[in-house]
Amino acid sequence: MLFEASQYHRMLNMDLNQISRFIGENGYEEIKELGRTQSGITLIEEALSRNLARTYRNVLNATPGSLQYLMKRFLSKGDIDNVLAIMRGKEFHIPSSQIQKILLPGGTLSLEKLNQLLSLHDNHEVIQNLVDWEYYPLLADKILIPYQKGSFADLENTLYRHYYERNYALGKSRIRIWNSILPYIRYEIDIINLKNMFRIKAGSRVEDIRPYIIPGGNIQSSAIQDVFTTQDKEHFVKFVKEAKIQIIFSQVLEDLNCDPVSCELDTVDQIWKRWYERKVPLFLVMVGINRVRLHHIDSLARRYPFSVLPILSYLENKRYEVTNLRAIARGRQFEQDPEEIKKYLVM
Amino acid sequence: MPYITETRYTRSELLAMRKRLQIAEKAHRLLQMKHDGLIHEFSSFAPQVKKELDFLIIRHTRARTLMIAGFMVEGSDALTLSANSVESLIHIDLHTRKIFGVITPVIEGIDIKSDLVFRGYSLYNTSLITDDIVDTYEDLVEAIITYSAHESTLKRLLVEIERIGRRVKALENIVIPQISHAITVMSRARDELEREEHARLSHVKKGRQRNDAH
Repeated sequence: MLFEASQYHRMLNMDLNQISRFIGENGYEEIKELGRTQSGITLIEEALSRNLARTYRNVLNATPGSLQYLMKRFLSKGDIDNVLAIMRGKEFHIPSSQIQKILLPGGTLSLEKLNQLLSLHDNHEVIQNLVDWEYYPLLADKILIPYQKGSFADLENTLYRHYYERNYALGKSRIRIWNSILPYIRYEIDIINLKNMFRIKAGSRVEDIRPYIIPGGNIQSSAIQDVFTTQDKEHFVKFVKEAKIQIIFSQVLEDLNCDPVSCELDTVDQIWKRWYERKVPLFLVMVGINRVRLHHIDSLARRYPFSVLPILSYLENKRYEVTNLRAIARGRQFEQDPEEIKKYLVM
Repeated sequence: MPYITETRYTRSELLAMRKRLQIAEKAHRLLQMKHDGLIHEFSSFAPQVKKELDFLIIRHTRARTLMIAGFMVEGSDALTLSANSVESLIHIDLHTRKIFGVITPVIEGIDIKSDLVFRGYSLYNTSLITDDIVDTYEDLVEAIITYSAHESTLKRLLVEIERIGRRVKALENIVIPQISHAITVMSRARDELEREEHARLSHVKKGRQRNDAH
């Protein structure tokens, strides 16, 4: 069972001990397991991470046949995070205990396997021990020993691109149970591409954005490249309208209860202004986008009830539940106002 | 303790003393000018440094606020991972320059602002808040470097102003008055000596005239 909005609202006025007791009584058994050795925010964060990993693994074990294959494909994103964290730790001599805290064994690589990788001496050995991993060819191909600056980011980008490309290829397949996820994957790719487009525009001087665009979304990479270099407002506005970003941003701005003056302005004007000034949209807008995205997945899951989408919808909701609980706990730790914390919740 | 402890009432000593007075007055004038110049430099520089301090506090507050938001949105694990992924390094160039002869540090940051795609973390595994935090901390580092250089300059100027001020006051209130007083005393003593000599010579002259008349 996932937490409801009323339960979040109750937690907004609790202190850390009350929050840990409350979530411990509502499905987060890890609180009781870890409570003997840890306390406060460390206990909550650790319990949330472990619970999320346990949920992923339970769902993976519970799904049968081809659905399990799909779930493995989706959860392999966690493997990329874990392997890269271990490799970075090895390369930059970060203590294993610190890396172990970051690992979230919710993918196809078990905790035992991750611990084994963590105990190895260097990245050469780590790569040699991942021969069976689906991303091994990319890993062996991309990583250079001795290490060169920027290799990890390059490798990470390649692995994630590969992850989304393979998911897209699955969605494009003729197997009915698989191709029902295509609208979800396309929407996901669009959101990632648009986020990255705004981020790169604001934070980088690169002219060619195509290496960072994942193919397969509803918006073509050539269209994104065209708008990326444009200085023409009309061109930008046309793109925003055609890509249906305006609808997303409008919803987000409504959700954020923006001040009357801002709301009076046209959404497109606001996006253009920040775009032209090479500024990213406010991060609270991104929280709002996550909210819109979650609603979109829920609606897709209702449209395709016999596909993998209800499971994915549950996992996404679970992920955001963990994010919300962390936001509340951290917010209370830093003595933030409940109304302020509420802005960070994805419900 | 008096500046002049022993005085001989000779002509050469008087001339030397007058020379010392001239030098002291010239030094006083120069040091006073330097003192005024330093104060002018300090007073024109201090408001700028104050603004930089306010700016630094604002940036620090913003960085802290964003860090709290980062902890809330991303969690400490994801932030730690992103932080460990950053490969761009800041270089600090340190040299000096002179203001009215005072050696002050010049600290310049090189490559403070990093390009998003070359930072070292992936675009697909991080969110906008990570970019915001990195940008804000880069701004904070920039503000810290600027402020630390200027604050250090200001402190050195202040030490120099105090040092020069002490010297100016010493010249003004102790050295010059004592030399002037010594010159006055010496002049009077020498006048007295001259009068005595004149009287003695008059007596000798009168004595000789009396002897010649007999």
